[in-house]
Amino acid sequence: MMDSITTKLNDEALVPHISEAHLLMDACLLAGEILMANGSEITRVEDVILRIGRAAGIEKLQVYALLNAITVSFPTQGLTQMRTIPPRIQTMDMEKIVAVNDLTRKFTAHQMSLVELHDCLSQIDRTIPTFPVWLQILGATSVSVSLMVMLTKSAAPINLFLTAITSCLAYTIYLMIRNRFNMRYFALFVASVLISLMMLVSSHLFKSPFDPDIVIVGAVMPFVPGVALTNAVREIMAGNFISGQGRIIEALLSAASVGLGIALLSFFY
Amino acid sequence: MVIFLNLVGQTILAYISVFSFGFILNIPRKTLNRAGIVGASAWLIYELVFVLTQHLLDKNWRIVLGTLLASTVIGVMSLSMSRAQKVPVLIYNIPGIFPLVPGAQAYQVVRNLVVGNREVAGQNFELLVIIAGAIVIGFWIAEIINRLRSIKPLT
Repeated sequence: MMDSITTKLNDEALVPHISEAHLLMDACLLAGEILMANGSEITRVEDVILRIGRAAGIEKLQVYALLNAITVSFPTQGLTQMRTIPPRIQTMDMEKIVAVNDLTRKFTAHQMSLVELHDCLSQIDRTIPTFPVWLQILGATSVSVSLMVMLTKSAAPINLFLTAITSCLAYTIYLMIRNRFNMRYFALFVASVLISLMMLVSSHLFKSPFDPDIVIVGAVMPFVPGVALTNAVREIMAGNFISGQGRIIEALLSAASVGLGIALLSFFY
Repeated sequence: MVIFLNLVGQTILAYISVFSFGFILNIPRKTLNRAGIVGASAWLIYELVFVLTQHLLDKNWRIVLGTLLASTVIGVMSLSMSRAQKVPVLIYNIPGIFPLVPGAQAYQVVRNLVVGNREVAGQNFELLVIIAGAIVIGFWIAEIINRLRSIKPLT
C-alpha cells in the first residue's frame, strides 16, 4: 500500500508540466533573488518583477517581497510560488543589479525571448566580473586615508601612514574571515580589534602628532554602516516597514561590532 | 586664498574617496568616473555651506543644512547621469552619498557607551538622527525637482 502511494507521487502525470508560465515564474523569482541578495531596495525588486510580468502579458500580477523571501502570484493562471533568499552577508554588488536591469529592459522591449532571459539570469553569477581582491583592498585603503583628511581636517604624515597600513591590514582580515566562514559581524569585530591593537602598539612607539582617535576615524571608515543606515531610513520612508526595521537592526549590529571591537582595547591608551 | 585651496583639496579628496569606494561596491567600470564627480560636487556644496555659514549658525544646524543641500544635489545629478549612461540611479546615489553618511557617528555611539562617556554618545546619537533625516529629506526635494524637470527614472 505504502509503495503504491510513494510511486504515485513521482508519477509522470503528477510532476508539474513545465509550461511557459512556470518558466516565467522562475525567471521572475530569479531576478528578484539576485537583486535582493546584492543589496537592492524592495521597491526596485517589486518593480522589476512587475515589469517582466507585464511584458509577458500576465494580468493582475502580485508580488510580495521581504528581506529574506519573495512571493509571486499569477492569479489568472492559478500559480503562486515563493522563493527564500539565503541568509544575507550583506554585501553590495552593483554590477549584478545593473546586469539584471539591462536584461529586464531588453526583455521589456521584446529584444529577448523568455528562454534567453532565464538562461542569462541563471548564469549571472559566473558571467559578471568583479574587481580583483587587491584592488578592493587598495580601494578600502584610499577611502580611509582620504576620509580621514576630509573629516578631521588634519594631515600629519605619521597619521596618514598609520591609517593606510591599519586599514589595509584590517580590510584584508575582514575579507578573509567573511569569505572563509561567512560570518560578517564576527569579521567586523575581528577587524576592529586589530585596528585597536595597532593603535595600542603605536601609542607606545610614536609621539605627539600621532593621535589614535584621528587614525581610528579613518581606518574604521570602510566598515561603518553609514550607507546601510541611510538605506534603512529611506526604505522606511518608502513604506516598507518590516524590511526597513530589519535593515536598521542590521546596521545597528554592524555598528555594535565595530564599536565593541574598538572599545575593547581602548582603555590602555 | 587658503580657504579656496582648502576647498579644492577637499573636492579632490572626495573624488578619490568616492572613486575608490566604487571598487568596494563593485560598480561598473564605465560609471566610476562619473560617480566620483557626483560625490565630489556634493562634498564641495557641503563644505561651501559649512564655510559660508561659519559665524551665522549653530554647528549642528550647519551640518544639517549642508547635508540637505548636498543630498539634493546628489539626487538631481545622479538622475541625469543615470539617464545618460542607462544604468539605475542607485549606482550614483550610494557611492555619492558615502562621504556624508553618519557612519562614524554610529560607531562613536557604541564605543562611547562601552567606555562610559554617556554625554559624547548622546551628542553623536543626535548627530546620527539629524544627518540621516536630512539626507532622506534632501532626496525627497531632489525627487520633486526631478518630477518638475519631468525626467522619469529608469528602472
